[in-house]
Amino acid sequence: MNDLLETFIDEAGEHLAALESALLELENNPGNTDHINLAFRAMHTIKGSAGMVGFDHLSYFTHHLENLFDELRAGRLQLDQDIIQLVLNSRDHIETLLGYPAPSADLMAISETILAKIKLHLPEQPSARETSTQEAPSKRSEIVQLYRITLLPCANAFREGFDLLPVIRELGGLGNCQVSTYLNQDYAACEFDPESCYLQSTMLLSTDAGENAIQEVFIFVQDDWQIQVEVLPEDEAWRVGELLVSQGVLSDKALKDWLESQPKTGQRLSESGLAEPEQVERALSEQRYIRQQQQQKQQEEQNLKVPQRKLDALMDQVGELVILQASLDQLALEREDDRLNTLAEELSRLANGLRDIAFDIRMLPIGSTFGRFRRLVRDLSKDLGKAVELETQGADTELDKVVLDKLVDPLVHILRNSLDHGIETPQVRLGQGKTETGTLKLSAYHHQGQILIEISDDGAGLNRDRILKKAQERGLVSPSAPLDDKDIYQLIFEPGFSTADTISDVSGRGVGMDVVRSSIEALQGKVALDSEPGKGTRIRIMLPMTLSIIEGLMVSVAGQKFVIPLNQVEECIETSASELSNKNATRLIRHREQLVPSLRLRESFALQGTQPPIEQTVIVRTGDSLLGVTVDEVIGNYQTVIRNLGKLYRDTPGVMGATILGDGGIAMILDLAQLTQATENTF
Amino acid sequence: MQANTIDKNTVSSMQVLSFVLDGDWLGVEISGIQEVLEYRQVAKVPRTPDFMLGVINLRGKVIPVVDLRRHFQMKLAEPTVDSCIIIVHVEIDGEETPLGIMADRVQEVVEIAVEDINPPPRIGNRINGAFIYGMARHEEQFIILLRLSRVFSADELHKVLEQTVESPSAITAGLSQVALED
Repeated sequence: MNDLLETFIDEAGEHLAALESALLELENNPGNTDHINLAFRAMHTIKGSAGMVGFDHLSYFTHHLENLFDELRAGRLQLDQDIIQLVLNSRDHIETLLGYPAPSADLMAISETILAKIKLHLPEQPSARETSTQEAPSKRSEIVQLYRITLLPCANAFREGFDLLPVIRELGGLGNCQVSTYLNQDYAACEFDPESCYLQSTMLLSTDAGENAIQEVFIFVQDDWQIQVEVLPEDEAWRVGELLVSQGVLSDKALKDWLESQPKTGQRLSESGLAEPEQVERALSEQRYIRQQQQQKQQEEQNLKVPQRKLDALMDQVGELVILQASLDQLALEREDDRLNTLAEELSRLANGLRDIAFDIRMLPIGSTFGRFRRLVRDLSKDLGKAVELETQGADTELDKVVLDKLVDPLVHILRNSLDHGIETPQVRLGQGKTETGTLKLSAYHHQGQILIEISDDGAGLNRDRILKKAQERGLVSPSAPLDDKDIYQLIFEPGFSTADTISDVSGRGVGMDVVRSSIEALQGKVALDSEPGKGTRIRIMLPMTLSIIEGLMVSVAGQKFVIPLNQVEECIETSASELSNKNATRLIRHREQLVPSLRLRESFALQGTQPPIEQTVIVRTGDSLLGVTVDEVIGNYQTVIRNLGKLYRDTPGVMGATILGDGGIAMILDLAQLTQATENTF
Repeated sequence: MQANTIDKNTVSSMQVLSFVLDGDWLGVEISGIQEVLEYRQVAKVPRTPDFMLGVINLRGKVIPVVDLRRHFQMKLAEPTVDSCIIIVHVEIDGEETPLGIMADRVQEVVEIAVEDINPPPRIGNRINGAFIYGMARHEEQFIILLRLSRVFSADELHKVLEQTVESPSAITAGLSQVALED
């Protein structure tokens, strides 16, 4: 039951997201029936499954929304700004309701106020239909079944005022259906009575409504008409011969006998005179329909939903495999055995392939988060009385799911800032000769093996003087410090910095850009900012494609191995051991006409062993600053699976994780940002 | 279901893995133990106190290993052929984590009747009373039953960190930083 509930809430979340993006699309393009259908389906599914898991109030609430979209779908109602706002509000309310199987009275009251507004838009409804559909959700079993319904109206049907057509139409309302109607066996041209009904109808209906709903359609005619409703087993349903048998055209035995003598079915059947060509044609069209339905089902199954836990487990296993493969490679190298070598190479090919696939599975397009940004921009700009358009680019750029999840909050924060502080009100913009509508651009693309996310606006840009004044007030910089514009802009990333004069709901609630920076850095990413007064601001975020594997440079000190993230390495130079360190293991080395602060790892990490006369110093870059890391030996490139060091070592400075080496040993991965910061503080 | 509850309420004995550390027999209840490993090279994590020996690779997982001697104010010693690493599951800040503890020698699994467990003596024991929930007598040998959750609670780790920093042998730039950040 718990699983079911989780699935429901999960799926409802997805449907809400679909609804939201459909609505935002409809706002620009109200006539798009695809999106109306999408929204309708989202509502319909939530309603149905809410009833199933006991969210009765939610089911009741969404039912009315579904009605609204039904009217829109039928064209009886035109979509306007009011309705979109109303449905967006409803969407948010549904999100709230998802948390409460039995909502409190005030939540129900909110539901009613929204529903009252919705009812204003709905045309008068015959109450009968209202009640019948209202009961539907609880009765509906969500399984889509394929039914064959055979209808043989009595000869008096027309005289008694019953027509076949409305019945068929109503059945069509239950689901996807295919109808074939033909003259029944009583029809004989010579005795034709125009007032009698000679029609017979066979229909295939795929619906999730259940058999009761189908029987209800026949409530007025079931006594006089011959009605047969049967569930078709899917795998056998499409055989032409059996369709004919079930239509009573053939006997079971005749079909079998015939099948044994004839290899082909449809055409030959009609040729052999056992069935009329048109009967075969009907059966064939039924066959096509059933096949098509099945294909649709198969296509749906091609997308699997997998809990993240399982993916993580897969990644763990793959990680172990990669490690194992590395040790096998090493063994093969030592043994110099050709067969072992071949096997190791083969395994390494497979392991690498498996690793790539496993990583690929975890990648999600960043576009999956764009929907909520559009909503945010839409709502906020309305609240702030600004006209803003959000342009997105590179929605299919893929990112590790874990990275993506942690990226949303910083992005929201940046967008909020842009909306609140960056983009001006329409009057101001017009006054400055800009377009009335501001543009906010959010783009994502691959750049040198990393992901680059750019958020830019065409607003006022950062206010240099105000930032400087604020920073001085808060003691972040001394008044005499010589700062250029770029330095000043970077100040907004300092903890406790917020320039909004009034604390608004939108931004400036104490958590500022420093949180953005630290969340991005926690993802091993970097954030940079450009701004031009009057032209706008641009924030660029660089992120690694994945968190769990990095390319590293392996180095060793006193026999211990360490890994330096390769993307931060600038170059390796030789330095002499005779350059002594300060007491904090740091020193300045001259490199390319500048002095680079350097850290001798041996001393900084208190490692034993003798210091070689010629050391290697790896120059790395974090942000704008260079740092030299002095080690005994540089070993080479190494692809690394990052392992968490666990709770006990959580706060170890200078180390961001560990990796398992080919020989089963462990190497520490250096946290260069921390080392740089610590080193800079000593100068 | 009911039978189980009754069992729990009237447990009459417990199984304990006994091991030796600096001549003392210590015991850990076996349900908390994952496995016992032969001693293997432990990779030191830089800038950490020396009772935190480092990490080992256990079938692809990185598991921290600690030396309880520091907790219990015992003499430090080099590992021998008999040295073992006992992998236990402990809760650190509410999260269950595997953790290795060093032992000079692992003895055996013994069954201890509840009535044989005595409260720890108030005095005359070099191990801090808070880490012990009882002393059990087993064939001429006293086994000190450890309360692992207490040994590795955040408070205790903190205290040990502070002690380590005070001890002159371990002062390094990194260490004082650890203490400051905590």
